[in-house]
Amino acid sequence: MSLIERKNGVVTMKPGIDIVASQCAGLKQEFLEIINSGEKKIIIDLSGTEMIDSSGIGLLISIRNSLANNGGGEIELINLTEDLRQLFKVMRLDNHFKIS
Amino acid sequence: MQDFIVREEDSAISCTFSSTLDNVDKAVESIKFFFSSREIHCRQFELIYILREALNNAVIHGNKKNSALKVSCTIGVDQNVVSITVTDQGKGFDWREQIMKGPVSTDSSSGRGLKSMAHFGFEIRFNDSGNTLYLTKKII
Repeated sequence: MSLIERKNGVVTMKPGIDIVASQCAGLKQEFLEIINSGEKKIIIDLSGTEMIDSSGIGLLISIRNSLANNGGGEIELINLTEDLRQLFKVMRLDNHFKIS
Repeated sequence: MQDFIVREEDSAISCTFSSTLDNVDKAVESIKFFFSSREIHCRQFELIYILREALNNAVIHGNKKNSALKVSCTIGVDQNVVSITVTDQGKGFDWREQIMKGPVSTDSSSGRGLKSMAHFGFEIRFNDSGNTLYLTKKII
């Protein structure tokens, strides 16, 4: 279960685990609950996440698409390891997410 | 029959398991431990990423998550070349068509597994039916 904090209209979600195929169903449910509650700005804190596989990347993209279809919004990824930062670059996804 | 079997040799490790995503995690952890205990130095992130893609494909697309079907994988290192072989018990797929496909749209939420293996410089081969994947890469 992710740590979720709401402050000044921003939701920060910290999964604290690898975002891989075995975890995607549970994480998707958590993300959808946040989006369905009307939140527009979601920060995903990736400290504690060492690996994101292609299922995890697919999840993040589908969440971004759901947010866009729900009236727009923004997803920001923070505290990425250097390996994850490189992964997003190699996959040409660094322009699709705000990465801090 | 056991759900998860692991066998280690000097420079190779093999896992055979029923097709669940939890078993993919278990196989990855066994292989990570094998690499660290043998002091095999390589870019572990890339290796584990690629390994996960190969195992996920076998469980999800190959065996359709049918836990009655098995996935087998072997990883070995010989003369600075890491070799990964992953076999599922599904009917295979048209890998030639998949390989010929263009780049995946960055808006797409799927279809990255096979492409990402090439991104990280792994040589990719399949058996004829497509239910055994062979990956190789020089690691030093």
